[in-house]
Amino acid sequence: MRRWILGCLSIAIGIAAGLSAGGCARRPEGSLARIRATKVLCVGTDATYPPFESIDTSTREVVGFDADLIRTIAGRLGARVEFLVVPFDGILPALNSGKYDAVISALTITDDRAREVLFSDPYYAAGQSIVVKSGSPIASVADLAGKRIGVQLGTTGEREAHRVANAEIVSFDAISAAFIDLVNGRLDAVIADTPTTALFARDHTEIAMAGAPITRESYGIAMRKADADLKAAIDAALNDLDRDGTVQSLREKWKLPSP
Amino acid sequence: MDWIAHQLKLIGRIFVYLLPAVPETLKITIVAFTLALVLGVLIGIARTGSVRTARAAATVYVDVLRGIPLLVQIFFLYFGIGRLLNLSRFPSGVLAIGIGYSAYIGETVRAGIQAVPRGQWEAARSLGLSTPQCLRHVILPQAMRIVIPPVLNDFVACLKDSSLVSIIGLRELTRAGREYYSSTFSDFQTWTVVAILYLAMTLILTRVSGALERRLRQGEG
Repeated sequence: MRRWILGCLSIAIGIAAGLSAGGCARRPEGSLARIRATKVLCVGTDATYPPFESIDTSTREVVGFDADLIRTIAGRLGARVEFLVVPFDGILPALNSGKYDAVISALTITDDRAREVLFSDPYYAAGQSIVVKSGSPIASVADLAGKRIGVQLGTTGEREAHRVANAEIVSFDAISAAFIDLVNGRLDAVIADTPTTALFARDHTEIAMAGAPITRESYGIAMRKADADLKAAIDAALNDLDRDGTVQSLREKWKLPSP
Repeated sequence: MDWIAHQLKLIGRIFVYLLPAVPETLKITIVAFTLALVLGVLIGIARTGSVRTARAAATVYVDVLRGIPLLVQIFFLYFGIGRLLNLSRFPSGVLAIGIGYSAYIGETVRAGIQAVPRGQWEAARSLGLSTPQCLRHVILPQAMRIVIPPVLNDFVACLKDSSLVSIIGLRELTRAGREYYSSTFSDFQTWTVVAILYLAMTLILTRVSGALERRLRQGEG
């Protein structure tokens, strides 16, 4: 009996060890050197945010502007990208606990976040926009008072929604759930990044953008505070890609409005 | 020393932020579990009864609901059926958990009824009671006492599973914790407080229900 239990236990431990080996190393220190040595850049992303990052349902790859950009940057560092798809609200805590080396996820650079992580130079200027049902009287932030607003948990859209007086704020894990509830009439408005809301409004005739973007924000790639050398390398690559027109052509490929 | 004081202050702040979400978790759990109990007893009776169609229907009900993850049932109810019936978040979440758990309780009640000795039925019948009367006055009172411990077990599990409705945006304890840690990055401290609050709820509830169980058992010979 005891031998049997021991046997099961060792098999379980063996499987666990096998599953945890390989992939992204969890040692947080000296990331750039490790990335150059292993030729793997581990990137966290919440692939529910087209056109920046989403899962291509036929290839099951992470695709989008962010995905292309980080793959190109990694190429400059002599590495390939290994994505870890995680929920947005935990994306920075998991970076700091060493689950991956960088985050690219339509992530706005904010002071609060910059206290916890290191940001690359901005690579895209976006802002928050409001979407409503077509024909809705809501046309600006002022009209949102007392309304039901859908947002994604942990986003700058959620932060903006909390500034609206008396609004009922419903935060979802993925912005797509908020869009669905807007279409179903269970929400009056959704606040999210302009390119994403614009894409959704383009694909759904019953949905419309309400007025101009309400904020101006810049996206950045996040890294751990200790990885100043990685930031320098990523910034240099970004700068190159901006100058040689790669960023612009990626914007065109994903139909993003130019800043 | 400074570090400890800072941590304690932070944990205190998190506590103040999360405490208002506790009643919501309790509300979801209690409403859902009451629904599960009512449905579960009916299912348990149908599963052990002599009406063949009711038995077959109850078996299918249990098999289907027990075979689908609760999370999927919540999605299905909210985005699927809830959309047609125009159900809002709270009723969708509570219905999904209540119906999901009724399958487990149905099985528990079935086991309870079957654990009552056959002779009890025969004795009740020989006194001239009809089948519904037997159930109501003789079998169910005994079966209910037998099923109290496993039902309490389900109740604790239900309380913990109420965290699943955070996925449709219901702001209960787990969702409030995710709000806090995603905006402050205090992940370890936040989840510590969330864990302590759940533990406090389950400990209090199991103690209360344990006392209830002892009182109900006092009538036994």
